[in-house]
Amino acid sequence: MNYKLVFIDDNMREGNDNPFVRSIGKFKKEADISVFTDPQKGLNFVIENLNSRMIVFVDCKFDGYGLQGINILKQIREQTSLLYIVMMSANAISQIAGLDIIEMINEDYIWFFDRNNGTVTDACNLIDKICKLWTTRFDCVLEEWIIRHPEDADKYAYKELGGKSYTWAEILTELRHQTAIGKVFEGMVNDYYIYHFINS
Amino acid sequence: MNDNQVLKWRFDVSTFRLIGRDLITDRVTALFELVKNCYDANATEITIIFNNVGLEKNGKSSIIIKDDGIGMSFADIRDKWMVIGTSNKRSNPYSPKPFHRKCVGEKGIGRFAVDKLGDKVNIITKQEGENQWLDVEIDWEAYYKQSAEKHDIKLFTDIENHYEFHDSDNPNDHGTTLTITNVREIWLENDIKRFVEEAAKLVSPFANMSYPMQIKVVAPEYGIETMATKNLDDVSIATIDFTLDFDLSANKQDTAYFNEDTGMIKIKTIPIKSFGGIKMKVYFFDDTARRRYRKEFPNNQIDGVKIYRDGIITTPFAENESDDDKKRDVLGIDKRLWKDIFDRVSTREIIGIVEITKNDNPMIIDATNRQDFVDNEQYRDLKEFIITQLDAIEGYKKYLRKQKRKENSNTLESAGQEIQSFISSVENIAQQNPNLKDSLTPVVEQAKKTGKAVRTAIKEKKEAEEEFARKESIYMSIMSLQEYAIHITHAVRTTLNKIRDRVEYFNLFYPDPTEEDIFKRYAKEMYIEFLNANKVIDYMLSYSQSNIQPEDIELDETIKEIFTEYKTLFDANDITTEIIIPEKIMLRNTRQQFFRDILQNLLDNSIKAVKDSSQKIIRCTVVIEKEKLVIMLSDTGCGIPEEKRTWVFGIYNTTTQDQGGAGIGLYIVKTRVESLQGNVSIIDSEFGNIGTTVRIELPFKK
Repeated sequence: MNYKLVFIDDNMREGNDNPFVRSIGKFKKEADISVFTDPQKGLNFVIENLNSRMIVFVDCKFDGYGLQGINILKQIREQTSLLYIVMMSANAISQIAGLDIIEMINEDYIWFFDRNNGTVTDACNLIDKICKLWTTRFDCVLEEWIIRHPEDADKYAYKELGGKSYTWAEILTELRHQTAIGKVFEGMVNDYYIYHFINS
Repeated sequence: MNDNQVLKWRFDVSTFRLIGRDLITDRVTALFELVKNCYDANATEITIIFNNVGLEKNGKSSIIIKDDGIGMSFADIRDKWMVIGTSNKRSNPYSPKPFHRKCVGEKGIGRFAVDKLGDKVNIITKQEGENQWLDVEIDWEAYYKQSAEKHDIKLFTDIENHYEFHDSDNPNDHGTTLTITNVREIWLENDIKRFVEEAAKLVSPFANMSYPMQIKVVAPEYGIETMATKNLDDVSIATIDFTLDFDLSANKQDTAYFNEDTGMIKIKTIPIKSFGGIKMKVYFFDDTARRRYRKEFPNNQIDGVKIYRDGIITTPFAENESDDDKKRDVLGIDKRLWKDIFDRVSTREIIGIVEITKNDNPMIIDATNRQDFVDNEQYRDLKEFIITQLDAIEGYKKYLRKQKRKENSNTLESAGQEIQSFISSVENIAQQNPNLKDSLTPVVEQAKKTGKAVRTAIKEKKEAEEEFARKESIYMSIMSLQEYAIHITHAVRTTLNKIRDRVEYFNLFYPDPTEEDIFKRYAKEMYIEFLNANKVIDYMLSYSQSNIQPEDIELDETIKEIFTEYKTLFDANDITTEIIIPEKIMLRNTRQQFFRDILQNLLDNSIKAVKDSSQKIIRCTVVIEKEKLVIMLSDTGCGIPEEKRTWVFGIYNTTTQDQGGAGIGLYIVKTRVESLQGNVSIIDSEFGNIGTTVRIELPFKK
């Protein structure tokens, strides 16, 4: 499975020759790796490549930049759920501002990687874990389906009793925002497949 | 679609309560909402009576809120009060003339507040000129009972409420009385006192002067009958106070500062800040004044700075916390208290009234929890501005402390002199009257002993003062060391992580002939990182050296040396440096370490300050002016606002917090410069509109 690994960290001035990045690259040969020291450039790259499977390692703190890790996280999340974010910090988690921690914890599918104590193997294990989710999470599967079959995006997927109809693209939005419709739809799909498996 | 087939929204009784519970969670807040409505209705007298609301009930519980406001007409009750979600105050935010008060209960949630307080409410209301009082009865409990018993959906809009009219004796009477019965929650004495305390802060004394509103609170079961409104006289027992105003058209905002020469707080003007113009009144209470205040207002605490918007308190708003120590300090006044135990002003020493308005300060926005403001740049600036004002009081406090010390010393000194003159007088008498000699000798002996004791006391006092100054200095050194420890730890950790990544790479992939270049490169980088770590540790160790013995130094050489030590840091941050010293400067019998401390701290600050500048220049100029040695250090950084040029020298005062500034550097600079009998100040930047210039003047003889 090919995917992009993006590192956004102002300390990784060596780019792809950064030993941490290089080590991961040697273990994850299927990954296409990019390194950014400027958070804005990193964010732009991520947004331009939203249609790819991507894991983004973001440093929490950027000295001298207005844009911080937490802002990047928010801006990426506004655009897609296909993408997974690993927040990295060389500071102990207790040193990160309380509100930032709350925002991180309250986000779906976000990880924290401790740059002081985490090894390259730990980082690779995290990548493996995320890769598994790509194949199992319903919204991810649907999003990818729509990217591969754009002609299906505007087809109707669901109609409320006497109410509004939803296209697949709209359902995806509802799923991402975890609205009542999104949850009902996800539940129905799960029920549907369980029913079919049992009866097949 | 057939147009005749429509569905309508309906909602049941409990929905009302659910909405209410979300909006109002605390009973004091609920009662506040009702008092606010009285204020909006131009009431001048409000009476709140609590009957049988405690644990031991001796009859029917009720809370009565009676006001002499404009009252409501039948149409008002039918079309406004009974229509959920309406608030005519949104379209008409001022109360009727002539009061023209800025309405405060604009969210139309007063009716939910009633439900929070009790099951039943009776509204008796009349407008001026009407012949009858309107009497409406609302019984929530009955609705819930009905719907529970019938197991049927009882729709809120189907509920019928009874009303009737009573004749009035005097058509000129007006006002509204809400009688809430079946009070839901127990009100203990402390709850009512808390309400009184908060209600007293509801209207600022500033705004309550033209058409004052008086709130009377009565709770017979607790023997409470008190006025819950403050006026300016109530706070006249303060030790010192000052008032700030602003003039929008002239772009001027008052700001306070302490003038050491006169020993007084003075006011100067600065341009209007980002948050708009504000009025502020600050009262400071010293120990004696605090005792008097506690005696006069046993229900009230001296409790810091409150912000009033259009005359009504906004924050901290009726916090549901009776223990003052646990109240949140939204302006961050006490958070800084520990940082300078000697002179910091705490919320327990000041009452501050900050006046803001919706029109003048639109960017100070209430947070949705109504306990603070939305955290934006303007609010942060406002907090900073308020704290800057407190610094004027801190200057005054420091001055008082010094004066007191001086007074004590003077009293002791003069006592010593008086004893001496007493002895001389007695000895004179004894000389003139030899027959009294025997009787006076023991007196003289006693006086001599006392004189000796006083001299010893003076000496001990001086020693104690020196000891205190020494301990204060040690305390400050420890604090400064702590800051460096944090920086150094971070620097060492970053270095170690860089080395660790490379070691891990070796561990995982060595040997690999195809990667030979990378291994070599990593080995070299590790070596450089190791050297860096060593440098950082040396820097740290320089602070542990107590080598401050007097010596002769060549200042120009010392400055150049320090700049050389910073070269790596300058290069890494693309900073250009200039040293302008026209001649050799030899300083006799001075302390080199002090100059190092001064320069290093100033350079650290400048490096932080220029971080975001497009042109990064740090320039050091040394000149001799008459009998003064002038050292100027300038940078092209973010600069220091004019009103903070004195403030920044206080310990823990920093304008570079975001860049890791902890506010110790300039304090060290100031104390070191003062130890060298000099003075330091921030002057207009040598670079014009950008940056900062720090000017140090030291006594100098060629």
